[in-house]
Amino acid sequence: MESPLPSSLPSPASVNVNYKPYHRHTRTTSSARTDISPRTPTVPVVRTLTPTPPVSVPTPPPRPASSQALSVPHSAPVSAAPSPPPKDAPSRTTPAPYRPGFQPKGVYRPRTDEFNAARSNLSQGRLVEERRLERRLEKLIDLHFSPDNLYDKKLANSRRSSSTFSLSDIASKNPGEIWRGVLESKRANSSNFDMRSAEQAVAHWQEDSAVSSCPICEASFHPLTNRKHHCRTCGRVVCSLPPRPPTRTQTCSLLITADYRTRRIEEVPDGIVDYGVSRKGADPKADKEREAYLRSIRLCRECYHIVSRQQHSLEATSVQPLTRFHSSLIRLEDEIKSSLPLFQELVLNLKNSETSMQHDAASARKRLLAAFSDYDTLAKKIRALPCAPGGSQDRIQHAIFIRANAFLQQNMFPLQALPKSPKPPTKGSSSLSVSSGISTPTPTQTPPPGRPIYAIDPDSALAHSLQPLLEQEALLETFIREAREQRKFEDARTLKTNLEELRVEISKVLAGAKIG
Amino acid sequence: MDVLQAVKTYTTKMVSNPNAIKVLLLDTHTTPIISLAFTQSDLLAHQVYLTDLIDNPRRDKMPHLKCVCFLSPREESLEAMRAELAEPRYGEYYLYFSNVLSKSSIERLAEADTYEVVREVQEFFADYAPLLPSLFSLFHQPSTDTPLYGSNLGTWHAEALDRSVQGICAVLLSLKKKPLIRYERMSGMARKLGFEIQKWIQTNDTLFDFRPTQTPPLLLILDRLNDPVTPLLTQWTYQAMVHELLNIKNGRIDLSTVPGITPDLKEVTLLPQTDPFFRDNLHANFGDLGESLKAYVQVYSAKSSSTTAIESVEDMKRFVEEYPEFRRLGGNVSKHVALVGELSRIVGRDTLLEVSEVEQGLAGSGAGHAGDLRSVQTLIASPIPPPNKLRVAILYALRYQKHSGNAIPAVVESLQKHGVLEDEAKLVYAMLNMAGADQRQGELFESENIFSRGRSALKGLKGVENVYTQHSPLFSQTLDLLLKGRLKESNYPFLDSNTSAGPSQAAPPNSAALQRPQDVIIFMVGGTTYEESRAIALLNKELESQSQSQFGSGGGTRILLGGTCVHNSSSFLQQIASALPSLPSSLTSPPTHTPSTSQSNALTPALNLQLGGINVSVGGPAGTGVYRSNGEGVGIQADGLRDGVRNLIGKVRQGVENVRLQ
Repeated sequence: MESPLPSSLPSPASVNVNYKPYHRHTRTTSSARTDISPRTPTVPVVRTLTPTPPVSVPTPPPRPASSQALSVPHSAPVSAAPSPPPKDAPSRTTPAPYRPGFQPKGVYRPRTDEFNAARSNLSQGRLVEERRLERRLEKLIDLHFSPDNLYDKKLANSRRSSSTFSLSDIASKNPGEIWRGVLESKRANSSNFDMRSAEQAVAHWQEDSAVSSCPICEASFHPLTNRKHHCRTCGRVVCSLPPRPPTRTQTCSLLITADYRTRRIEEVPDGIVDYGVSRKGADPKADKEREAYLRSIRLCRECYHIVSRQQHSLEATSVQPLTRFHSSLIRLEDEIKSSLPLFQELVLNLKNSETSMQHDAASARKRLLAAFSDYDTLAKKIRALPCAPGGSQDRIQHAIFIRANAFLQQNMFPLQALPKSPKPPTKGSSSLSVSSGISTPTPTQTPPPGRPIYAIDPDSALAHSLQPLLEQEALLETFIREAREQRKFEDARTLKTNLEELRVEISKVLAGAKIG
Repeated sequence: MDVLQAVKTYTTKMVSNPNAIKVLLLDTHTTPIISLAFTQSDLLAHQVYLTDLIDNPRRDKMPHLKCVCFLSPREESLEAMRAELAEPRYGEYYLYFSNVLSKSSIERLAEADTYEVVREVQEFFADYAPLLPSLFSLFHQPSTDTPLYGSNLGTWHAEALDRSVQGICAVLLSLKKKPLIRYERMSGMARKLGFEIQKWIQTNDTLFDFRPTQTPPLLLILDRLNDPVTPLLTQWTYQAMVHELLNIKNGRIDLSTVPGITPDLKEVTLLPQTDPFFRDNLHANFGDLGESLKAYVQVYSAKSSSTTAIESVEDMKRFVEEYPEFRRLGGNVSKHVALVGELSRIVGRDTLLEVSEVEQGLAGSGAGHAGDLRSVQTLIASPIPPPNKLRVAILYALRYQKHSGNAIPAVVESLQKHGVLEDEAKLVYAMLNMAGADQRQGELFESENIFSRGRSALKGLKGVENVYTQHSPLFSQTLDLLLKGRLKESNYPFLDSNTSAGPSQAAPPNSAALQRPQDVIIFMVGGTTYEESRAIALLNKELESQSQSQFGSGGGTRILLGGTCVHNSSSFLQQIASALPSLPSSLTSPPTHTPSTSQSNALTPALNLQLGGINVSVGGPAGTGVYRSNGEGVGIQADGLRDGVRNLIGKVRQGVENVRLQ
C-alpha cells in the first residue's frame, strides 16, 4: 500500500497520503491487531459496553463485486474429504486418492521454447546483415536530418532532381519551366555532389549498367518508363514502378523521412509533388508534404522491412499517454479495492459504537471519495484523449471508459449509503447523545432532521453533505439522458421528479449554509 | 467435469497476462468458444479493450498495445497469423492455440516472426463449445459444405472425423481424463471414432500423463441414428423449446421476424451464465415456466412501484443506487416475456399441442396402430406447417416399420398431397434406411421388450410430468444400466486396444465393465439435443443428492454430454437430407423389410391404476407413465394444460403492460 506512486499520476501526493493513516490506526487502537491480518475482524475493545454481541462480521470481508469478476474462477472448492476406503485395494504402488467434486485445471502445453529455438535458428545468418543495414541507416539519418546540416535548406529544392527527367515531368511542364529545371539542376549538381558522394560512402552503389531488371519484382528497366532507383542502405538498384498486385503488391522503392532526435522513420508518398514548380505556401499541408518529400531518403522495400523492425520495437516500448494514464487508473483501482474492506470494517466497528474511530472513519471516507474522484477524472481524461473517431484507438478509449464507469457503479455508490452511520456519532459527540446514533441502526432510516445541524458544522461538513447530493444529481442526469435515448419515457419521468426533488434538497442545504 | 468452468479457467489464464492494455484476436472457430465462456465485462475487467478477428485486414496499427491471440491451429488461421507477424500491428504477441500445434506450424510461425514480437506460444485445449456445465458441442452444423457422413452409410467424412477427434480429445485434456472407451456395437461411426481417439491419445501420451484414478473415467460413444426419435419431437421445456421453435445459435436468438418486436429485442442472448432467470428455468416445462415468469414480473413490478413512490431523500438515494440493477432487471423481464410470448404464439399458430400429443403417442405407448394412423393422417391433412407433418410421418414410419399392417406408402403419398415436397417426403424412407429397426440396437420403442422397461419402471414413476413430456431419451435406459454396472459388453463393447499397433497398456481389466465409473462422458455422433441435456442435468443432480446422503460429500457419478452439434428437428432433418446426395440413391426408396409378428402377443402391465380418466401403468407393454384410458380423458387433460399455459401468458403480458403504464 505504501508503494510509491508513479510521477505520472495526476495527484500522487494526495493519493499516497490517503492510505497511510490506516496503519497508524491499526497501531494505535489495539496492539494485538498489528500481529494479525488487518482484514480479520477483531473484537472491539469497548465490547463490554455493548451487551449484545456485535453484528456478526462476515469472515470474508465484503469484497467489491468487480473483484469477483477479476478473480481467477477456481474450481469450486468442494470439500476435499477423501473418498471412502476402496474395498478392493488396487495393486498399483501409488493409489491416487480420488477427490470427488474437485476439478483440476485443464492441461496446457507451453511451446514457447520450441518457438524461440526455431526463431533464433532461422535468424542467426540474418542478424549480421541486418545490423549492418541498421548502422548504415543511422549514418544516413545523421547525414540528412541532423539539425546542423548546412546543406539542408539550400539544397532542398535540388536534392530530388535527377540526371534525367521522368516522362510525367515533361508532360506537366511548359518548355520554359523545363529549361529552368535543367539549369537549376546543373547549378545544384555541383553542391549536390557532396551529398551524393556522402551517400555513396555509406553504402557502395551498384553500377547502373550491372542490372537489367529489378531484383525484387523482376521487371526490366527502361530509360523512360521504368527508371533505376538506388537504395541508400544496400546500394542495390530497384525499379520505380507503381504496384501491380499479383507480382508487385507494393512499390519496390520508397521514400522515408526520419526524425533526428527520436530516430523514428516514416514512409512518405513518392512522386506526388511536382518538381519545384508549385506555388510555395499556397497550401500548408501540401507544402509540408513537399518538404518531407524533398528531404527524404530512398530505400528498397526489403531494406525498409528490416529497418522498420527496429522501429517497431522502438515504438512498442515507447510510452503513449494512453498507456500511462491507463496504468495509473489500474493502480488507483487496485488501491481503492484494497482499502475498501478496511473502510467497511471501520464502519462496522463504528456501528458497534466504537466511538474512538469516528474521525478515522470520516477521514477514511473522505480519502476514498477523493480517490474515486481522481479515478473519475482520470477515466474522463482517457476518454478525451485525441484520436480518430471510429478508429481502434477510439474504441479502446471508449471501452476503458465503460470499465471505469462499471467500477464506480459497483464501488462508489454503495459507499454513499455507508457514511450515514459514521455521521450521526460525529454530531453526537458534539451536541447530541450517543444513543441517537445507535438508535438509527440502518443508514437508510436516518431521518432528515439531521440536516440542519450541518449548517452549524464548519465548511467541510457542508461540503461533505453536499458532495453526494451533487454526485447523485449528475448521475440522475445521465440516467435521464439514457432513458430518453432508449425511449423509456416512464422511466425518464420518474427520474425527472427525482431530480427535481434532489435539486430542492440541494438548494435547501445551501440555504441552510448561508444562514449558518 | 464442468466444461464451462474448464473453458473459463483457460480463458482467464489467457487474458490475465500481460498486465497491460490488450487486444484479443480470435478466429471464426474460437470466437463462439470465448463468447460462451466470457462476457464483455469479464474481458474489460482483464484489460481487454479490443476484440477482433485475425483475418480482418482493416485493423489499425497500434504498436504500444499487447496482443493476445487465441486461434485454432487450422490452415487459414495459421496463414493469417503469419501475415500478421510479417507486419505486426501490435507490440507483443501472446499466442494460444486451441489444439496441438505441429512442429512444422511452429517453424512456419517462427520464420514469419522476423520482428521478434512473439513472447509466448502455448496450447490451451479449449477446442469445444461449452454450452452448459454438463453439455458441450463441437459446432458441426451439418450442411452440404460440411458433411458429417462419408460416401457410405455408417462412415465418416474425413474432415468431420478429424474435427470430432480433436474436439473430444480437447474435452478430455481440459478435464484431465484418460478414459476407457465404449461404443455402440451397431454403429460403425462410433467404433471408428473411438478407435481414432484411442490412437490420438497414444500418439500424444505425454499430454495424457495424469495420475491414475481408482476407477477410470468412461467415454461412451453413441450414435444419433440409434435414437432418431428424440430430435424429432416437439419440446416443452424452456431451453429445448426455444431451440426447437426459434433456434439458439451460440447463445443468441434472432427475434427480428417476430411481429411487433421492439428494436432492442431484435436479437437477444440467452446464456445461463449471465441470465439468472434463464439459469433457474431452462429445464422448466412450459407450464411451470409461465408460473415463474409471472412471479418474476411481479418482483419487477413490486420494485418498480417502490421506485415510483419516493418520498424522502433516503428513498431517493436508494433509488439511485438500485436503479442500474433495476434497469437490468427490466431488460431481462421484457426479454423473457417477449420470448415466452413468441413461443406461445407459435404453439397456438401451429397447434403444437395437438401435434405433440400424437408425437408422444407414437414415441411412447400409442393408441395402437389403427388409432395412431388415423391421427397421423388427420394431422397431415390439417393446415399445419409441412415440416411438422413430415416429423409426424417419420415418427409413424419408425414406430410401425415392423408392423405387419403398416401404411407407410400411404402416409408418404398423403404427405405429398398436402404440401410436402417430394424430396422432403422421401426423407421418410431415408430415415427408415439409415435409422430403421435393422440399423438400431436396443429398444427404441417401449413396447419392443418388456424386460428393459421393467427394470427402470420404479424410476419412471417419479419422472412422469404430463402427456407432453412423457418421452424420455433412449440413452436414459443405457445410462441406467451403466450406473448399475449391468450394461452388456456385447452391446456396448470396450474398444480393444490390441487391434491398434500400440502397446496394450490401456486394455480394460475384466472387472472394468462391472465397476461403476465415477466420470462418464457421453458423446453423441451426429448431434445431441437439449432434451437429452436436460435428462443428464437432472440425473446429475439426482446422483449428487444420492451420494450426498450416502457419503456425506459429493462422490457420485458425474456425467457429461456432448455431440457434434445440438439439434432441433429442422437441423436433424437437414443433416439427413444433406447426407443423401453423396449416399447411394437406393436409400430414398422403401426398404425391403419383413414385418415381424412379435408385436401381437399382448403383455399385461405389472401395475395398472385407473384414476378417473387417467391410467397409471407400470411395466406394461406400453411402458410406464400416465396414460389416458380413453380419448376424452386426455382431451380434458390437454385442455387443462393448454388453458393453463394460455391464461398464464395472458396474465404475464398484462402484468408487464401494467408496469409499463405506471
